[in-house]
Amino acid sequence: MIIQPALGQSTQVLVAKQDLLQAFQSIQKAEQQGASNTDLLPLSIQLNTALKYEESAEILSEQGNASGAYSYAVQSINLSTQVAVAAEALGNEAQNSSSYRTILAYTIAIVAAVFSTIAVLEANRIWRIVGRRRLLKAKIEYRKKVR
Amino acid sequence: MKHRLATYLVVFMSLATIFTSATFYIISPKPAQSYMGFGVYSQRGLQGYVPGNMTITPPQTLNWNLTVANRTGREQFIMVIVRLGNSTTFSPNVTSPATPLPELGRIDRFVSDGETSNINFTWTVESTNQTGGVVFLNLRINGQSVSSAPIGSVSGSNFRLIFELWTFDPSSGSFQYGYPGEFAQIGTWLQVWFSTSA
Repeated sequence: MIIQPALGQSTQVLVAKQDLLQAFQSIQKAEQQGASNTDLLPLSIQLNTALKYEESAEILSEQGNASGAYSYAVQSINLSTQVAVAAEALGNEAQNSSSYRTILAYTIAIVAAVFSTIAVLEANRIWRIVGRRRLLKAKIEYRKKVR
Repeated sequence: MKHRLATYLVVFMSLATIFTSATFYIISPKPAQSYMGFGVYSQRGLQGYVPGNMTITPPQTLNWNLTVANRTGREQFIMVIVRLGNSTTFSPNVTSPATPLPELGRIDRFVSDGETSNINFTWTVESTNQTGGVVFLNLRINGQSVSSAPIGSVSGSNFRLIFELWTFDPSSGSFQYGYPGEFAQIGTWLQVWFSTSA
């Protein structure tokens, strides 16, 4: 059984509220960094569970059930912390992958521009080479002389 | 030779501009209008749209669903404030909530972007009491008993339950009425009219 002073318990409820808001802001930051809704939905569900724990802690605290309030507040804090950590990881991962994709996309665009330039300016020479190779590969047909 | 190099450079720069512009267009997120939808339904789904101006005979319990759809492009921490009014009281509008009306309850929820959240809303009209021809209600909302006073209604008709949608604004650290629009908060509210029979 956890025994804490009444002041400490009400502090835990306040900490639970702050942690909920911090986790919420972590999710918003992860969204800005490019994390997908599908990845963030489980975190939102967890955050709603943490919110329920925090509300239960608040109700119990108002009813004078200090140990019950403390227990719910701690559960809420743990869950909010997990959500904040997971959201931060998802955000960083999304940002790295987004930077990689951007660099790759622009590199492809520049390489395509180089090849296109060559294709446009050297088109005549390329066709000539192709034509010569075709000619070299062609079979020579000899006509029989008709007497 | 110099002329040839210059031609190469001009063509390359032109094509590079075209290709990088196309890439920018492809990888940029597409613009979308952000909005939040707010609805109230009975638990029977589409068959059970909450009827307008229904009559309630106490004690009567109603199970409703509040649905909140988030299409704002980011997670929202929402709060629904439930108020009671009558035909003469102040109504919320697109910019201001009905703050003069007493709050009967608050419901908090985190709603992901792209998600439509269903929130149970169970309320009971337990009894009525009449003072000088004005009927006041004793209500139970999500398990908590509340009185409608000071809001009453003559002969128990034309009461209305008002639901206001509020969203948490991290910059101010408080809930704001409505949801964040392009230029300002957009106030969103619903009301359901009802009367009570003695």
